[in-house]
Amino acid sequence: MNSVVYRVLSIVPICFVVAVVVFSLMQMAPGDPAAMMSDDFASEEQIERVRRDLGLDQPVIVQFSLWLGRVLTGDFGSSLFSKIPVTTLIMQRLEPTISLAAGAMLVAIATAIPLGALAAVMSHSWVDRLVMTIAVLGFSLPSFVLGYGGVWLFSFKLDWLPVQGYASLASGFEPWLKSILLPSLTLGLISAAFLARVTRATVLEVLSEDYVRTGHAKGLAPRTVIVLHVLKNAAIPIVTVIGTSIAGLLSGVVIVESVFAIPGIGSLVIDSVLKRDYPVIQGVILFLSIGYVVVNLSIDLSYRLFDPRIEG
Amino acid sequence: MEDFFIMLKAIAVSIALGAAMVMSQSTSSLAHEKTLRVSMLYDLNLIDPYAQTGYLPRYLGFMAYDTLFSIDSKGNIAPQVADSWSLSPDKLVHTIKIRTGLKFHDGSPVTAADVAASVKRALQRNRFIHFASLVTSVDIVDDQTFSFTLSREFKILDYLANIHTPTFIMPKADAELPITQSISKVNGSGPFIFRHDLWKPGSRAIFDKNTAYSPRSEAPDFMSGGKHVNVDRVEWVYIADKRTAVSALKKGEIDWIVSVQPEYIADLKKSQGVEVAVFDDSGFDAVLRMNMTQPPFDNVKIRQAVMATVDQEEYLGLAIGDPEYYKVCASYLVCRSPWAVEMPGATLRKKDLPLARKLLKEGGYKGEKIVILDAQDIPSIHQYALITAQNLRSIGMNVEIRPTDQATLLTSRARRTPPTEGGWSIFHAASAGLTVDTIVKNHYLWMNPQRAFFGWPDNPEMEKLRIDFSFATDDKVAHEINRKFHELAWTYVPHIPIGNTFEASAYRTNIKGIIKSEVPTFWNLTKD
Repeated sequence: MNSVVYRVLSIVPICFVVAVVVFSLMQMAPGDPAAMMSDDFASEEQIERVRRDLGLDQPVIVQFSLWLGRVLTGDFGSSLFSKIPVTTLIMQRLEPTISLAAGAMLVAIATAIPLGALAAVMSHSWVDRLVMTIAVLGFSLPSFVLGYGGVWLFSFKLDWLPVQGYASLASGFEPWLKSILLPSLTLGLISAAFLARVTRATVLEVLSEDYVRTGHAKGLAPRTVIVLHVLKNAAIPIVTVIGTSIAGLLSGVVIVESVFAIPGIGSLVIDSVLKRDYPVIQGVILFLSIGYVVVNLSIDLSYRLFDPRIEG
Repeated sequence: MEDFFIMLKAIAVSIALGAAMVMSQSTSSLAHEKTLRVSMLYDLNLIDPYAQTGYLPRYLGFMAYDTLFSIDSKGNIAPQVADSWSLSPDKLVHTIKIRTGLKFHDGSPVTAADVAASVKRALQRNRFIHFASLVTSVDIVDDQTFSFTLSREFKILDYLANIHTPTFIMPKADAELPITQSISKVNGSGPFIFRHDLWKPGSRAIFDKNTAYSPRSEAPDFMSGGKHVNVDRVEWVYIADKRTAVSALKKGEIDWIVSVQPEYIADLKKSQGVEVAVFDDSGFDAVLRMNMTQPPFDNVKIRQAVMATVDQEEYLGLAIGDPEYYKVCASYLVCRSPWAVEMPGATLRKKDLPLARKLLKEGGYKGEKIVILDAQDIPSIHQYALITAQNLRSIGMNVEIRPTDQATLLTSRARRTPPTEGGWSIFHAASAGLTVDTIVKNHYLWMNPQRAFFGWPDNPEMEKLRIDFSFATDDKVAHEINRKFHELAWTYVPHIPIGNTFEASAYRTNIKGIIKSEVPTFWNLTKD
């Protein structure tokens, strides 16, 4: 238990470092939000007044202290432009991003693990080569190519799915599912490609272990050997890849969100960077960083489920 | 091994069944019958219509706020919130009576005090700042009437009614906020109610029909007359990927793309159920602006040399493509303006590189570095920057392109330092035609360096002509001043016109009655 508490507490200094880095990057970035917010014809004095109103005229250390103090109380500030609290903006974007990430992960796991295991079981056969070719293709294809291709096929030719947009769960399960199916497939197949390769390599390694041979020798059904012995022992590298993929998906869905006009966290980051909306950039990046750290911590802790010998 | 295949099959069948269930119904069921979904070029990120010169806050202004006056298709001033108005014999006191029974969205009545405060706020805008000092008082006569007094006669209503700088009527408390402080809640009296609770910056802004709105009785004519709303809701959808927006329109998921990128026009023209049109005849006026406070462009000869390298057709053809959407316009004002005066000869219509080299030599160019700010996130502006760089290199200038984005460019262009110390030499821009259709409104022609737009020209003679023009009450005199100003500008070169461009708009054919205007309007149209 102590080791778990230690691992959880280790997040704190990581988050502090992230906060310092995020804040420093914003200070170094070119562009001035006060000028962005002002009329094109605003005088220097007017821009200065806007800067003062925003607190941007304070020394950097004062700005950082004030910001950190507010963050510690859960207040990430408000957008310089829309005046909407950053937490509200993040909450508005969280559902689409989680839906998309979860959908993509489901697609990835549902396709990659069986196919990767199959390729390993039938290694060096045409099935193995086919699966690995598809995996290489999936890994190499840019997401926007898959996305536009999917739109052409499923939206225009088959008229099954919408071209763009996100329908929240509150609007009903069916519209929600329709809105995330194609983006999830696009994103999921890319993650699946890598996961399938890792699964194949790991399963192949486990298949050569003595206990697998023993399982076969004592007459266990092949399914039992693969599911109970092989996959369980191959789980740790696979779970690690799944974990890093989930963390990556939370922040790496920018292109897919853009292609399908899904208002998620990724597009919030891009929009706020282009506008130099400092509180939003800082808040979202800090939020994503914490999310990344928490997912990695959860993955670390989950190893104990697969291998009780691991102490944490 | 068979068991393994059975497991795979079970997963595949489950996924296929789930997908089939979802796909069994047509996707068109997502659409709402009386909701108009419109893809805007930009995202609405500010809701104060006066907060900045970005277009969307102003479009929001026309949706949610009513205006004091408006203009009709002939450019005449027409009342909107105003019911009647009169001018004193000395032409210095304007008295305006407002319509009765008007209400803000929160239910409170629109009074003369609200309107007077709104006029004062409108006059605080920087574009009007030199006129504001001529308004000596604004007085409330009664609940429905107010007046304002001028120290000198000028056509103030032309400015208060202009489509680009209208007077949005807001509650007194909002109107009295400092102009640098944005309002945080939209409470207008216009034909649509902005749904702040449903606003998702970066995604969508929603406007519901204002059922309590009382349209004027006159027939609609451009921005004037009755604003009859025939849809229940308008959704402004922001689709960052323009190809996706085009696909959504073709599929009928959205009803209208206000501004279509040139590369998608041909595709949309061939699409069934889609119309492509230009709703804004004034278009945009593209310019090449030089920093006149720094060498070498503090030298008139060098500016003239740059002008000699310009062939507008080259810029417009590469950046826009289809000649239907651009027009060569060798004038310092947008060509649709009655005040536009085109340059004589082949200037801006044909390059004259020998002349450019000669002028460069006469100007004593010493190889100073030319820094061109290149906003790469705006395709046409990026193209203009590349062409200018190539042209200047071809006459022997030392050019550096500084890649940036529009947000950074807006900040960078305010720097007055030399190009070698973080300053700049040239940027390109495009302004909505109606904002630059007179020598008074066109900010690139402000010649007082204390108030001039970035680039800071300094020409007292031209500045005096601008001021004289703004006070000219006789059209003949005004035209004479305008002609003199243009003649001086051709030599002084405060900027270089690149030409006029026109934005294509695309919409579903079941949308009828869209008003032709620079501002997309959502009243009067119908959706079958």
